[in-house]
Amino acid sequence: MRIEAKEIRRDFLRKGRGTNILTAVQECNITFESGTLSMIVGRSGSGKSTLLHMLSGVLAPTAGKVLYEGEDLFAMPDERRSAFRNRHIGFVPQGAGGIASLTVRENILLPVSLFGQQKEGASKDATPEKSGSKGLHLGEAGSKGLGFEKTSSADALQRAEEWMQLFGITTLADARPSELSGGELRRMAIARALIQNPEAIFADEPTGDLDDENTRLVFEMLRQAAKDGAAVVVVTHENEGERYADRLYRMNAGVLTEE
Amino acid sequence: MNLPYKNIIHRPVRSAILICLAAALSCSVFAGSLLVGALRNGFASLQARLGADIMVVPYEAATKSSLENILLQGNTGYFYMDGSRYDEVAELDGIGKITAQYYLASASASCCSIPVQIIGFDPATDFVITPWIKKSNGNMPGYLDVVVGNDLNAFVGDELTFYGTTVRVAAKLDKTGTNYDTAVFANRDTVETLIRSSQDKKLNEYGNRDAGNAVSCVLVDVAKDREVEEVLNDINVHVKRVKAVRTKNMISGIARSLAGVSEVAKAWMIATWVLVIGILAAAFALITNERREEFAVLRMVGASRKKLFGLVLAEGALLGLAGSLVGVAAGALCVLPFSGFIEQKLGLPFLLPNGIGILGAGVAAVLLTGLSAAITSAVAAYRVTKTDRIVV
Repeated sequence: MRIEAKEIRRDFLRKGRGTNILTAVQECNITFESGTLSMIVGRSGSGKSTLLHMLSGVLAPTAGKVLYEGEDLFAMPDERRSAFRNRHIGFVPQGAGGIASLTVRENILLPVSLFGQQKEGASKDATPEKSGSKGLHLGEAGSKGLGFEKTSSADALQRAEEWMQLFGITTLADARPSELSGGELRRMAIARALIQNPEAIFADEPTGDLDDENTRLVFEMLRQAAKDGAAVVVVTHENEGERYADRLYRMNAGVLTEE
Repeated sequence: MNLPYKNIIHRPVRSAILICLAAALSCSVFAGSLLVGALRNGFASLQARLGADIMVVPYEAATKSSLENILLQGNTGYFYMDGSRYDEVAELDGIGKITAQYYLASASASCCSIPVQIIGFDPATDFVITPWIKKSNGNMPGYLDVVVGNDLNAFVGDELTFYGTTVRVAAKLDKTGTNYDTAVFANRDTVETLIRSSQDKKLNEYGNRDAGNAVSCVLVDVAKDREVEEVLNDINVHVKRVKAVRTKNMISGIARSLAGVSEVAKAWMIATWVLVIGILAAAFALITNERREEFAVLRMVGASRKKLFGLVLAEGALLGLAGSLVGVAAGALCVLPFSGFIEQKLGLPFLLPNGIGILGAGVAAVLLTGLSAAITSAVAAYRVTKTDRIVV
């Protein structure tokens, strides 16, 4: 999976301040390849999350294009782009990111269970074969292979159980997000992002609420996902994860530079 | 995975409040519709029961409002005029149909089973009571037979005593929602006998009148090519000591009261609707705002705007549906068992719609409430989903 951002920029209109426009992300060009873990570091408010949201197809850029294998993500109608996101992109949000009425297990299974039918349509847009996905194998993290190409309910359930075991949240499978700590919620969100074995993974401060051991576990898993063929992009304001990165970028006041 | 359903179950208090709001709207619409419908039905029924263009009564009866007392206010009473008045009216031009009625009030004394208004009619000429009896699939009353109104505690085959004379119940009429429901109907011969009995027992203030030559009221349907007002004036000018009254005018007071009550009921329904819509809109706006992070998660895992919109809409519609069903049930419990009480308190003709009408009002209330809840939630959902800034 080759992800290219071409001259993308994002402006926000500041409400109540006349026509004052804030450019959160200055025009930039960047490419992410399968098999690499790219890390974008920078202070809070520097535009990292905005860039990540544009790259993942959630937030439309004010200008420029985001291309997946040469196809403009934002030229797709919302339905198709959403289906594409469901099948090919895993996103770990910065916030707690849980659906309150669902259990931890259901939250992890959300991309599979809620959009199972949509996934079929999505396969026409970008099949796993086309994108060259090989499935995840978490050797270093101590897990057996969790890769799967075609998600059935039983497969997905089995996979969710394994992710929960790996992250140490099996006992919380039937708990609601409100009963979880920040770290547990973050692990749930990571498991949800990885459940469909996506070819592109975007993680926004994935280790923000985690202890050292879990931080290491998360970075090792993301590293392994990249090793298995995914294009992984991690945004963080910490320096700890830098050693896992293949490419390092710095974001400062909306300006992206490669280090 | 049924996310809307799970969201509803997960927040029982919030869901219960929204369901109660929807129920209030649905109950108001359903009960209000039944009320307005029953009043309209009752009025139509009263018009049908009066069934003539003109009523001719003794002059004293009209001036003392005795006629309205009997026919519209539910009081018992009687008055008579000479039978020759009937012939005088019949001889005038422009008379289409003509028949006479004979009134007698049974006494609340031991001589009578029940104190009721007795209305006699002539089966040979009647065009008011007979169609009603036929519609009720009842037998035409013979001599010393009576037909009873729907609200009376008497049934076919029962025997009733009026002024010492025993009569048999030959038929029971369909409900009309008017004071006719508490009246007893008999043919001319039976009423003549009963009037004589009342005179014999000295319980009739017209004790010296010849019962065989007395009528209480002459009902006239004007010929098709004549104006009612014209014939009415003719009667008042040419027939002495009578008052011809247009039935339409007689019930204009009731029509005004009915219109007033209907307007109040409608205003109540609209006010409730506006209030509930406002509260629901505010509630859904708050809820969707509260759940922006959840919506962002759904977007990230692949929910399209349409899908997200559909989820919020479904939740609103489910809450609306549940509330509307509760509201219709509550409305039915408030109105149906107490229709008699409501009728008594309103003092207006009150005839509930039939089963299909009630079902229709229920379905309309459910649809209106469900749609209102769905639309208010949809507006809130649209506000959230139209922006591309649903991000965590």
